[in-house]
Amino acid sequence: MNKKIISVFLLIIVLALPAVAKANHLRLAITTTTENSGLMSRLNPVFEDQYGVDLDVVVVGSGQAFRLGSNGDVDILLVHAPETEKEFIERGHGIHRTAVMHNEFILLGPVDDPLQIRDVASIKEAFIQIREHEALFVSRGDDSGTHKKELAIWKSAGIDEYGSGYRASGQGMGATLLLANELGAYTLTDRGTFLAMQDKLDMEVLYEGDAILHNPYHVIAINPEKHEHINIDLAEKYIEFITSEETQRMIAEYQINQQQLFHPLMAMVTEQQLVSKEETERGFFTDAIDKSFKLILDFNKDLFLVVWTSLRISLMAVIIASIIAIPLGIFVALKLFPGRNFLLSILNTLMALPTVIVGLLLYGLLNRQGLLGEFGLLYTPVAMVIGQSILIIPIIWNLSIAAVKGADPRLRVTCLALGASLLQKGMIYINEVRFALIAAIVAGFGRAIGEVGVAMMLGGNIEGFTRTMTTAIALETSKGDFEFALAIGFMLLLVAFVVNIVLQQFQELK
Amino acid sequence: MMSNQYHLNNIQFSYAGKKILDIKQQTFQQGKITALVGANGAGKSTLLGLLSFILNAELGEIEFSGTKVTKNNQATLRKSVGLVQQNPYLIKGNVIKNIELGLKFRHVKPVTRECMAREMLRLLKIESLADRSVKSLSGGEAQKVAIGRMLVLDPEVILLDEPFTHLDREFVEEFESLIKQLRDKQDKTIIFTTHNQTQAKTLSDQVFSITDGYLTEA
Repeated sequence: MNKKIISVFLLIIVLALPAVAKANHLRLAITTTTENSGLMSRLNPVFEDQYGVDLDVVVVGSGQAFRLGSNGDVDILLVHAPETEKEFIERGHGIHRTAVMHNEFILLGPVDDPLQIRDVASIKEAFIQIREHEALFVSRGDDSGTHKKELAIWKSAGIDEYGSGYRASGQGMGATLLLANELGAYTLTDRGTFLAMQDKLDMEVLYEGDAILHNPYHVIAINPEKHEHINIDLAEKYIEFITSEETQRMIAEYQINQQQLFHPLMAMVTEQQLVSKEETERGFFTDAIDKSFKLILDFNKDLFLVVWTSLRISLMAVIIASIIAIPLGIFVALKLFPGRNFLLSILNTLMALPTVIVGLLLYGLLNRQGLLGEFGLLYTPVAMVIGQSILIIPIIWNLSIAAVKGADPRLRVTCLALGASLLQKGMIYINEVRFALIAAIVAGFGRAIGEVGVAMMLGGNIEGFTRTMTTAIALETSKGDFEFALAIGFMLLLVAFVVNIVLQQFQELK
Repeated sequence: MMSNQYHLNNIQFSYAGKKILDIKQQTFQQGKITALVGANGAGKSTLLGLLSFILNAELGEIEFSGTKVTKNNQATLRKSVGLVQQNPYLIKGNVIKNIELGLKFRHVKPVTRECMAREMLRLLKIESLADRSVKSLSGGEAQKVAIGRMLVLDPEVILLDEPFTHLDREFVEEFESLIKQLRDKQDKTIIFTTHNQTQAKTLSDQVFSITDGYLTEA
């Protein structure tokens, strides 16, 4: 009896939870530029206090923000891509589009400014100079508001082929600035992110003030008629809050390094659109699977470039790691020396070395201020090969030790009785346990090709250069191009499958 | 003139806390054939391990041709001793590669190596096996290859662990006469283990028996 009551009680609580969550939570998607400026962490707590609610802030690129909105994954957007915003409203996904504030995009470049961009008359001319000299230019390349603005400028300058100096980072504004700084490249950014990161950068504002560089921010509530769980009440309160006189004053007063980041917009521009019900959406997931298979079967060039980059880098890493780790493994297995057991436990621990730790340590060494900074290796395939090698050396080392220990015990006596030196013994063991050693190499390769930390932190996810399968999946998902991400996912699974088949074959031969 | 090949002085050997061998004083004479008999697990193979300097006794000392065996000189002394294990291990590849293995370790030139290996195969009457993969060999054939691999190195002392187990009757006789020749013509010291008391008596100059790790002259 008691149990029954308790379970009914629990059931009521569980059923009531979403309602509670809906009443008190507002899910807000903002873009990386807004997040990097630090403004939102100033404003949002005020809103939470005033209205007694929790704000769940998702930081993504604009492309993904719109995707989250149209899927009903968030209640409200704060974005800066006017064209896309209008389209979004026209499709009936959003309502109450309201101007909040604006700032400017600026063109940054190295302090020495080799192209003398400082002296040009317009942003258009600056872009033409960059293109003509094939100078390094880092683009966000992630479908964000900043990226869209950059594309619009290229277009207005009459350029549709970006030249050999063009690099797409595929990352947020902060990471893109760091990348441009490392490469000594030009890049387009919003002023807020630049001011927030200025002391980490060796870059200067080379062009500002063109009308085309105006960067307005709007909030858009998600249309509750499209998704019934949208918390429209709170969304409307948020709009009320952010356009209130007090908040607008806070925006105007927000400064970094004594510089104002955003200009408030008091004027209320509310656009309400009727919901167009014509879009009968097919299942999101099945549709994406169809499209991703089509990409694979059409041998999509971008897709296979990513696969090839991954394979190339991981194969190189596995070759280097094997050359180092296999002899070490055989040595440790055959030779008794002081501290051997300690070394074995360290190796065991390192087998599970988190990839981000390797990424972090090497980032410290390889960046321009680092010990090995002068070689300019950060964000190159070489850095990734080094990182992945370090990651998999313990794996191949350990598995080589296991391979030698798994050999027939009579082999050791045979080698001794025939008078083999340690080196000769090692050569014989390589031959005798070669299948187990190949299995060790394949296992290392599997780890290298599937890791994301090193690839992202040391490679920088540069298209056609250091963009691997794993980093491309992360990027395409954040851009909202789920189909492409899924297609790469399938390719990665295919590679993993082939690797495992090969591994199994060799383990059976052993 | 009789001289000592080995002199064992207060040798003790244990494995996993269990005493395997306990030998007070024992001499193996140079140029003689010695048979070691005893039950399974009595310590015969362990003794051959000590005599080939692959195992080290925790107590006692061994003199080899009058030289005290130490950790520093045992790798050198090992080259004067040939050992064939009870179930010999052959490395992957063909028979000739196995026969050449020890010569390769001694940096003998490839041409010379192959000549020596083929001559050894002729001596053991297994020339036809030269290019066969070791995987396809019978137990007896594998044992002959292992014997050849050891003999081709021309060691001063020959240690054989149950060498007759897998051999066919015909070859047992030939091999017995080969062993005698090695003693008579080349003055080799030969020590072998066996279960077969009759064979031990007919083939050897002296028979030692091992019981529970203790060595006695039969």
